Amino acid sequence: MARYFRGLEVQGAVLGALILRELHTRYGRENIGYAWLLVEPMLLAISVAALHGAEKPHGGSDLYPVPFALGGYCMFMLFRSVISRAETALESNKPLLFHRMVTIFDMLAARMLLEVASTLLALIVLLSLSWALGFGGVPASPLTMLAGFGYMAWFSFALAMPVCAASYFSKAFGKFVHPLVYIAMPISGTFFLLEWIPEPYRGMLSWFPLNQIFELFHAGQFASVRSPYFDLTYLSFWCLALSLLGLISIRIVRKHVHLS
Amino acid sequence: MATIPLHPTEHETDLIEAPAAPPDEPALRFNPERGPVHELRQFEQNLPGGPEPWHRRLAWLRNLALFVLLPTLAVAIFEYGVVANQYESETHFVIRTAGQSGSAGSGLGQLLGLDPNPTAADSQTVVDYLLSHDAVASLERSVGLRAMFRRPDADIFSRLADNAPPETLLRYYRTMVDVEVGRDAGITRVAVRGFRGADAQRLAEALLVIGERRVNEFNKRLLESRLAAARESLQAAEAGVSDTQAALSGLRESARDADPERTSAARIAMVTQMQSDLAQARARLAGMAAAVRPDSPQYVAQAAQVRAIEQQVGAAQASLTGSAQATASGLGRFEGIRFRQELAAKRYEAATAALDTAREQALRQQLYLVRIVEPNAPGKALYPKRMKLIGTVFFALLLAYAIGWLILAGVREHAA
Repeated sequence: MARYFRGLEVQGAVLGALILRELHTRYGRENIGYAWLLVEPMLLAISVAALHGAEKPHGGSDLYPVPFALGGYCMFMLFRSVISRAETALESNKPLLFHRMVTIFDMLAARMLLEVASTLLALIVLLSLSWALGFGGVPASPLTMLAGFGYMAWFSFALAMPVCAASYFSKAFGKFVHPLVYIAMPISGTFFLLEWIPEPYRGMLSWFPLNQIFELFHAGQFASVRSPYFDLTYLSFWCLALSLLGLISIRIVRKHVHLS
Repeated sequence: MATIPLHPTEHETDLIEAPAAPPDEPALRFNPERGPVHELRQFEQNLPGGPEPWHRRLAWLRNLALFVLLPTLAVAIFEYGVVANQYESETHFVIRTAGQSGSAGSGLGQLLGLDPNPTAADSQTVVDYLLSHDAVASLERSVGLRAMFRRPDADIFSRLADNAPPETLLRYYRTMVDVEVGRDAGITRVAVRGFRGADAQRLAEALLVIGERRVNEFNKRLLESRLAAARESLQAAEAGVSDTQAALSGLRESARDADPERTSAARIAMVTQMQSDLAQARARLAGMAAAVRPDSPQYVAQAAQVRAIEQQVGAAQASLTGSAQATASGLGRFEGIRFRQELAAKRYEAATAALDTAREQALRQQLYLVRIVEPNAPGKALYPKRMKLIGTVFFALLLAYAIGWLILAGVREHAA
């Protein structure tokens, strides 16, 4: 048991170090430094929200377009950045595997934690801004919204592990990741509720875990959204199964990574 | 792999015939020239100082049993041994208005922001009522809801507690009654669960009955509110008609004239007749003036007749216009009242028509609760879904166990 505690301690330290290293390599010390962590997602989300700012609330009474676009886009950004960073994680951090206590899982987890932190911060700041500027944006039930966010983090991380493994084994797969992620954006419920979709497609879409996560998130964000389209058991099984697949796949990859 | 150390008291040896693993961990030595340790390879390794491989495999099995099989077994025993059967009765109805077939707006229409169809909203109001404390109170009076949820057939975990406050009863009721409106066809599906088949059926029937009653109340209120305004304007019009009628009679009595129009027409005819007589008399007089002397008796008589006729004409014309009692002013008053009377009559007609259309519209907007599927008498208990629950628990635990095992192995690698 003591061994596990020691292991946890070491792993915590490794994760912390990896996060710091990641911050440093990505943003460095020039101009605004680590503030980019928050500014980068904010710039993207603001540009998206500006496109939707002129619309009137559609559907429910509190379904304001700006917070809707902000929330949806921040969530999708989390998914996209975790997946796309997973694809390059091994490339950029391979030398670190010389150290015995650094594992592939740590690299992916560090990147995921960084993305989660920055996106969540950006989301909070942006929604506060939107509220302050009178576009609405106070979440109806923050805990439900956070649950949606948490599921998104878990799902992204679970999917990131097999993506990381597959893109290590085949460069072609790595090329396909980005287009696939972009295709996922219009169909994932980033900018719509399943309610608005006509029937044959709604039934199909509601099987996608991403759509269900978005439904959960929007149900937490707006009081007027009552979604019957998400099932936490179903979502959890998706995430569990993907996590298992991912953990096994990075374990297999580790055996194939040869450090020259 | 290394076992998770257990306290000696926790050893589950009834599931697996195996000597319990030593409580202290086998020392996992790290071999520096072999690179990082891989669990999979380590699995086949016989570690110095550790127990034999088959023994380790059994230890792994023991952990699996402890974390996956045992909880699943406990859930299975609980589900099959303790939890009572629940029977489900299902009924379908649709809320329709007389005016339309009740087909809902398509999803595309909703997408384009068209109005949601009214019957869907009406179904929603009925559903809202069926799941309200109001409905619970009404059902308590009609079928005895509390007694139903506290049957001796029910187990202690799923029955309603004694002396449950109304709020608890309401929450419990909402777990037992499932109402959903089909979004596209507008068909409302009500599924009621009870600890006895007959209970479920009775409750479903009672739900339909109170739903119908509520819909009829809606209709009555709609009809009343719709017709009230129309009735008021009709009454005003009636009053106007009778007022003008009274004014007309009053005028006739005061002028001692049953029909001023006819009278005046007769007078005018008389005057014109007189005037033509006068013209004839004058012509005759003029003719005489050429033939006889003016002092002849014939001429004198004729002249006298002309004068008499002139007087008559003057009097008659004076009675037509001149004084206050004259026909012209009387006729003017009469025509004013007659005009008002016509207006009032038109208003009355319009009000009657408006009342008719209001009634028609209200009838067209009347809601009807149309039963599509009568509540069935369940024969087989569909709930609880035991196999599904046990399967869910088993697979969730299995996945969680596998993931936990991999993650813990990863954690252990750090402490190498």
